[in-house]
Amino acid sequence: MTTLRLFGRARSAAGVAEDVIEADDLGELLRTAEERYGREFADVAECCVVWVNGEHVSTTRTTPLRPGDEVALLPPVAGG
Amino acid sequence: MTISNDPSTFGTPVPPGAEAWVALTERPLPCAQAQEWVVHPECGAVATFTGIVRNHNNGREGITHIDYESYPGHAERVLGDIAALCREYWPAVRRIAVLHRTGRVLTGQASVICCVSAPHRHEAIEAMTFCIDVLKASAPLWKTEHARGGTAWPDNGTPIRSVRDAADAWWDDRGVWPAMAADQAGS
Repeated sequence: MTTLRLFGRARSAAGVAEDVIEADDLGELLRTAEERYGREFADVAECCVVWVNGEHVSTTRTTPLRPGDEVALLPPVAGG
Repeated sequence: MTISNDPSTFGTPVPPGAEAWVALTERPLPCAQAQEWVVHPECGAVATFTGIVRNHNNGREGITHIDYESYPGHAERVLGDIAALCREYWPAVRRIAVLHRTGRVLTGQASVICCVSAPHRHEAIEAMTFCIDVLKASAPLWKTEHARGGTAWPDNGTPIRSVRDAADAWWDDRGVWPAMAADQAGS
């Protein structure tokens, strides 16, 4: 199982800040999340950078996931 | 470099020997304390940027407060990485404080403060500018604006970059190499 962390607009669109999803790769995880949270979330997810275990990964959907991984969807940031 | 990011240090002296103080906090930023902390006998300059929540943004008026959200753990790590990289580029810099609010921040309150001390003003100012610019591009922080007309996500966010990529872009924007900038600052 993979922990999905959502922030900013992604969290707002999904209605949850965190979820647990079973997926073998990033594509499967994102498909499941999009089905679960709907169109608005899918639109926001398109604009997100993906981190796995705190590290940036390219958005290739074939990125493998292992049990216990943490995937974070990071919308455009606005600190300061 | 010794970095302190323990929120418990708020209101009390940062541990002796620390060269950078980075933290996120839901409490009002200790701006005066941060500026005093970076003072060092070898440094003739302290440069400070304080970000304040303003009452308008991108044509939106009447903003009353902002709620800041972070990626816990990782946001603090990024602030520490920024401070470490800053010292790589400006070795003469002695102390760096980078503190950012989370939670609700009212209009007129400080949301972020970056303080840098260095022997001379040019390197202090440039290093401080580097810290806040790279923070805005690489720190996993988000804000929700609240105004009389409702709540909105600001449209002027930026796709998050790694600290290194944000730093490279910062130098690219200036059209100089870090070593050249260091020479100029020291002259």
